[in-house]
Amino acid sequence: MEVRVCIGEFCHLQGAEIITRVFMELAEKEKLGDDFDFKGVFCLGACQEEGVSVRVGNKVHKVDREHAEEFFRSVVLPAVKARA
Amino acid sequence: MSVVRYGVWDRKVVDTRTLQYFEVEETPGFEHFEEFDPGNRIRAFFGGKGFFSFDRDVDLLDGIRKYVARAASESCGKCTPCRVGLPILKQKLDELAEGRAGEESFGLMRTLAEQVRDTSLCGLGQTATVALLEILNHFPDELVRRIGKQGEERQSSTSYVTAPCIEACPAKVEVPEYIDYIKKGEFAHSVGVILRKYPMAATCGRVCVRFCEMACRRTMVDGAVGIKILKRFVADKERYVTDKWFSPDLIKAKKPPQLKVAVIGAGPAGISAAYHLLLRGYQVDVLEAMTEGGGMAAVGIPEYRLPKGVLKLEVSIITSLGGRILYNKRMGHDYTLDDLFKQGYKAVFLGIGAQKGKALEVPGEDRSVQGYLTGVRFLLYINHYYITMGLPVELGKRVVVVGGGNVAMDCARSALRMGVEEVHLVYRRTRDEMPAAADEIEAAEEEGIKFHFLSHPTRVVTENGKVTGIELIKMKLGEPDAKGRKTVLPEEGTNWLLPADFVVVAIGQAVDNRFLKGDEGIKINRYGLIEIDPNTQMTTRKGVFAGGDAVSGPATLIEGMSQGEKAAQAMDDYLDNGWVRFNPKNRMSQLLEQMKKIDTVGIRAPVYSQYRVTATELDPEVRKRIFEEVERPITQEDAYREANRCMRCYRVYSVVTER
Repeated sequence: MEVRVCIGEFCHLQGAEIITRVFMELAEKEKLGDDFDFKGVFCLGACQEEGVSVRVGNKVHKVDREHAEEFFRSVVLPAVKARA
Repeated sequence: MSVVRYGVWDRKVVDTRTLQYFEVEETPGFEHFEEFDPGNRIRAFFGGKGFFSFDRDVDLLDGIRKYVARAASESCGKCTPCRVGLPILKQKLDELAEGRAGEESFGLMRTLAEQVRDTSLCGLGQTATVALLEILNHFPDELVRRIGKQGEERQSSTSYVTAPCIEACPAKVEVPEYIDYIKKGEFAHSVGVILRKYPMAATCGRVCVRFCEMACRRTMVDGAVGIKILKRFVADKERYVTDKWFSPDLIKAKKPPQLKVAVIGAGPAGISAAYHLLLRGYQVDVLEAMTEGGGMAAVGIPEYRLPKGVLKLEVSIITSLGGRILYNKRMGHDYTLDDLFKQGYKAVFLGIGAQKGKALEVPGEDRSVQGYLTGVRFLLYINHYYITMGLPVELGKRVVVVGGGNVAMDCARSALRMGVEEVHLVYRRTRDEMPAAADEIEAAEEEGIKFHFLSHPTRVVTENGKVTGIELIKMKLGEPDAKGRKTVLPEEGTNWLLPADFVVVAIGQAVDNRFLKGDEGIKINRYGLIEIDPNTQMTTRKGVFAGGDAVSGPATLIEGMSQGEKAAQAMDDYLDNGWVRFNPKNRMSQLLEQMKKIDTVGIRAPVYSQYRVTATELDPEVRKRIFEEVERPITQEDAYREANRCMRCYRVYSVVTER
């Protein structure tokens, strides 16, 4: 499953780094391996809204750094497992 | 303007003593030579090529006596002429001043001074007697009339020992001294000389722009001494010094705990300021917006030039010395300047850098489109996310970098290492005008980066919010401008399209002053930089000092570190006395800067030609796909050989002032 986190200027300031760290840690903990295709991109074109842009599959979400783990468990994990 | 009354420089004699002031317009004069410090007039100046007197009544005997005495005390003692000759000359001059000898000793002094000049092994001895010889040859009467009249004229002398490489270095690192220690095999001492000035020796040994090598007189024989590679050699060799030697016990005189200081930004300027403040006994907290220290050195310099571990170790010196680095603390977001003073910090250093990339100002350029970034942001994200955190980053197949400086080179070479198929570099002038370091350009060419010279972007082409290319126009070189740099003009109708998935614009940086709300009392000048008093580094707000890129605009690691040191010195004075003391060494450096217009460099003594040692590099085909450090270390044998090429171009300068 393709998961892309935006590391552009706006999202970096919104805490893209924390989201990245949380996602990477959780992916390792959940032993997702290659099923979790996680990369950084510069801009997902959703800078107008608050939060960090994260694309899961084709859908772009806005994620608040305080809710990174919650988002991973409720959206990313089921999507990756469904694809696997 | 100070007018020379009489003197000799580089064998040119000037004497206007019999003329009136209005008749001496054509004689050499110097700006900013009027006073040494406020209210203290400069009466004469002595250097390695002669002397100048700005005052016909100056006691020349006293001036030259103190000059020779300083030179004698600086002699390293390795060669007899300098070790033995200079003290004898000093003794003879003392005898004259005290009236125990007369004119009859001039002959002996002349012979001895010539021998010291012609047979000494290094720059100190070769230049220390030149001023004396010129006085004996052209103005002996000035000595005669002062025989036995010691102390009659009210004057004092300030002397300064330096070398062209030391003067060229913004941090004034004692280059010949640390090279001397390498010659002797005393590597820890050598690192110690560098650590007197800043904590980042191994970092500087990798990425310094080498102002010292540009000033090296060896260039006139067979190429500058490899000062940078020698610095890297000793810093790597004595890694334990950085790793183990620093501890809070090193600081002997601790300041009272209420005198705590905040440093904003853990970049080169901030780290250097914190280091010097800690060594002076202050309690220092460094507040850093990012999650790692090093500032632009950490996020703006690619891994293949400066491995993360090297920088990290040197940043850790701050914590080893008992300082604290608080990460993830953004000014204007997590705290304000007023908050810091309320929390009890007595002084603040602003080393916030210049992290805002300049834009091209062409249509289609929008920071929210996918595939567009400024150079400094690009490096920051690559370093931070890819290198530090290990997150793969998608850039597409073809990346175009715009710009001709070092940041542009770093962007292009980093993009290649990210697995991009093609990297193009667009620069509006020719290769000769590129501001990037020559070896960086060569390395980029070897790695297969495609250069487009005399080309300038006119439009960033986008489709559905994504970059698809960049429109370029051909340029031609015009007449040189006021600075002597050739102007460039577009050739109408020559537009062409270069397809691209990603465009990186690396054409300059400015201070990101969003963190300042405008009511902190910090004045930002018209260039968008923090305004400071250049003598004290203090901003328009009392107790707040600044340095580094935020003050100078995007500059180099060494300039940032030197400003940090200067600010720490001023902050120490300010916290101690409430005002900043006059620094004679800095003032001497300013005077020497003025002397540059007449002080041409030349080599008189014969020197054996010996070629410069160069560090080997990884093969371009291998290195272009990995972030492994490109430049390999040199061997100990090579380090000895290179160190022995140093000619120790020490010079003694001295000014005679009224008080």
